[in-house]
Amino acid sequence: MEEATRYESLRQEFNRWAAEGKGQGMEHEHMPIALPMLERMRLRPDEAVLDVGCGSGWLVRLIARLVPQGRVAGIDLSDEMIRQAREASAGQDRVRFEVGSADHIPFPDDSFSRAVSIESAYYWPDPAAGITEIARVTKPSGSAWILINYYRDNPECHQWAPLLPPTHLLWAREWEELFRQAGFTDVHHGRIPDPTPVPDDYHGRWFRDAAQLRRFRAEGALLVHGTKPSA
Amino acid sequence: MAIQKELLDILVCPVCKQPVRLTPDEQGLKCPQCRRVYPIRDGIPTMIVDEARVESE
Repeated sequence: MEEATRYESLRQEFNRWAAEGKGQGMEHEHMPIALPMLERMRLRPDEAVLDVGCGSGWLVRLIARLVPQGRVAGIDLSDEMIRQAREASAGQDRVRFEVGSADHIPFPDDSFSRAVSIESAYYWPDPAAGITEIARVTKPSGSAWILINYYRDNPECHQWAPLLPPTHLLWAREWEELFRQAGFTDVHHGRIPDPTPVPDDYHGRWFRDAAQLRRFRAEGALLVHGTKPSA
Repeated sequence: MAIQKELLDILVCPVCKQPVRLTPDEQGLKCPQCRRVYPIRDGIPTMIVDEARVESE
């Protein structure tokens, strides 16, 4: 598929999600895996943080409370998500939201001490370019943290492929390699299980049954992180 | 809707990484290097490469 077409179709997909109010749903859905990631990050109060694929901005607003002397920016491909994010954060001068793509981030080099991205990276048309851009805008000694539920090591998510826009189903070690190629060092990955209880009467379209959803949550989300070498 | 000037100070062209400038008609943000103009819609700049048009000068 042509790259321009992929971006446009992705944007339309996420604008649809925004119109359906899914941006708000993300907070409820992703909080159980986001909190353990934030604990591991040990943010200091004055950090500058970027959220790539921020949707309607729930994680940006949460991080802003964790960095009371810092600032937080979010970018998203969907202008509709960014409109909602700005409305929800009106009057908060330490947060900002911009329409932008992971592989062409509209911020200067070395802008942020941390970069985060939750449930976004596998949608990027070019994950290598996205992680390279994240490395560019991360300050020396800063770190990048990517958390995803869709990765090849978890067999309980492979059935999503036909339900999603074009995506990348990579192994954990492949994500790590993309971090290293982008210049990050001290690259590691780990799993964050989702402790949310699963009701016995699951009838959604993402999993065959409650048992599979239970296994999926036990496998956990993949967290990959790395540090940009000091200058 | 006017966009805040201080935000423009640290928005860069996603291609050249040069700071962009508000166009005279205030409808776009222009990169002085590649002359791409990123449209501002409802006060929100669209900093997407595919959405930019390249001005002749």
